[in-house]
Amino acid sequence: MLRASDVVFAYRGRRPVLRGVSMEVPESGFVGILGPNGSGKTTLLRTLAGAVRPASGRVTLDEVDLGDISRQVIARRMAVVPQETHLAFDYSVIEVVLMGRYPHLSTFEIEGPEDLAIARSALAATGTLELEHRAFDTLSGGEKQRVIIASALAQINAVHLKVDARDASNDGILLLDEPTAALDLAYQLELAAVLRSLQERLQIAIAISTHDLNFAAGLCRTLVLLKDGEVLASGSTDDVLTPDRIRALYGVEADVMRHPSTGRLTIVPLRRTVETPA
Amino acid sequence: MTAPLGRRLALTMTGFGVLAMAAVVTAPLVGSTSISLRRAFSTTVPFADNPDAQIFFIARLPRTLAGALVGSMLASSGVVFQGLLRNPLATPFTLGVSAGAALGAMLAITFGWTFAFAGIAAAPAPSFVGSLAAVAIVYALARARHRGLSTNVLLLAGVTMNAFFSALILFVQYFANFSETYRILHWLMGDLDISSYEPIVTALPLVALSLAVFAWLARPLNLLSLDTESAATRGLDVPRAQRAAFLSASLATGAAVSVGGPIGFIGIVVPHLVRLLVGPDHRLVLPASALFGAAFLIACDVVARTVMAPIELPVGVITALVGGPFFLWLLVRKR
Repeated sequence: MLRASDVVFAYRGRRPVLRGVSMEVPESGFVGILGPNGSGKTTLLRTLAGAVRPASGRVTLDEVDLGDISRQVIARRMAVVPQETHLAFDYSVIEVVLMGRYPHLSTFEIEGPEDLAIARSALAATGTLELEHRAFDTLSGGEKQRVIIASALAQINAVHLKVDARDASNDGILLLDEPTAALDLAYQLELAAVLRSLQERLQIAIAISTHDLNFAAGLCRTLVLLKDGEVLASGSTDDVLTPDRIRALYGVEADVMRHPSTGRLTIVPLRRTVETPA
Repeated sequence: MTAPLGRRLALTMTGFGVLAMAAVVTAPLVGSTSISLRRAFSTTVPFADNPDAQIFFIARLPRTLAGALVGSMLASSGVVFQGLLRNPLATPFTLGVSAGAALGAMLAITFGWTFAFAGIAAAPAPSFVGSLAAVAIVYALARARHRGLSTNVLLLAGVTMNAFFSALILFVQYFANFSETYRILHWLMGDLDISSYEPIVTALPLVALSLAVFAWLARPLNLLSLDTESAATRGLDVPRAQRAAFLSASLATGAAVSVGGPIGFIGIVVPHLVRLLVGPDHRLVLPASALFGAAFLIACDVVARTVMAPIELPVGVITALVGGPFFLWLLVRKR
């Protein structure tokens, strides 16, 4: 269980981006961090990942402060998928996925057959195994995203455990920062399908930050609504997503309904709220 | 399927190792006076009566070894700078690091400073300090932009640093006397005509240290090709890797410049050709570039010695004639 308690964070010389945020990513949970641009979503995700240290408050992994756990141990449990990945050199897809094995190898150790097997089943889990030998730079945005997710899965050993079917639970955590921001509609849907199937089959915990209400509503079991660095509401998706909260969060009037054919919560934005949002 | 890394590494090391060895052995045989390898290594003729041995061991072998040392250090530090700054156009020369090292060495030559460390003459110390100063400026620039230096910023910073250090070099040269000026000018053009083993031996500790750090750096540099935050979330201690890279690349550049002067373009031509052959993995690119850099600079030096014989050109002229157009081609191709 990954937990943030009263986290305050400010970039140097600026006003705080996070002002006392508490939230948790339970084991096998699927959490969406929702909020408008500048609400602190990405910063919260970076704090959860241990990439930045909170000025006050704590981030704990299984009740242990992230600051007290070695990078290597954190990396084996928790992987981050950034919005976009640009490589400085022309690596192949399999090389990129094998980079996820870094925390599992000692200083001069070379990836062995087992690492390769893990990397390939991670590619298979995201439906990108046929891209294995392609140059990463030649992939589409959606393909790159899935390959980076595969790299993350290889890193937290998520697919490895799948081999042993008796091992039903996996304590790996996947954090995704605005995963749909750079993708067009078809790739967004594809990514949602990949994440949903990963979560169901591998039982890993997933947390995504996004400003896309429908993406989060259709995917996440629990939501954290973030506004101006504070938690506006959190809880199960069905409870949290109400027209009032959407108005408060985005300043937008919206209908929240269950889609007749998918059965998923669907948000239809209607217009901007005239008065200033509460 | 690409072969496992272990096999590729063995293949790469063997291939480029043979190439480097071949260059070291054959280069001393080429020159205005032809000599025979068998006579040079003859045990029956005393050294004093054996001109082949004298030419081989006194005139040409030190020069060849200097080429090997300088070439491998400039090429591998080029790889490290490129990985660190996430930009394939970064090299000790284009960043102004070589110029910084040259200024340090110039100051020491002109004012007759000598350095010793733990009883060993540390002639490369001033050029190391010079390259470190230049690197500190690059480091500060890179820190200000965590996604890596853009090509524009990188090139402009390099041009500025080179202009700045060149001005200081000219200023220092103003204080040198006539014969020193001639020597310095030759060295500033990049010259391997050292005719003694001493500069090589004094540079060896720096070379060994930087090679050891490079070996550790190879895998971290792969991760840094993603971006610093992705590297960190994969378990890399990024600040430590960056410090190690900046320091070891400065050491290597300092060692190279102290021996051969600021020879340009090795750090870009060699890693680029190597990547075309072995791919981008730094665990292959770094050792391969070190070996190929040695062979490449030795070959350039053979051309420099023979193309206008009996006049010997500074090797820096040859590498610039090859590397300048190559650099422009890369720049055009990049966008």
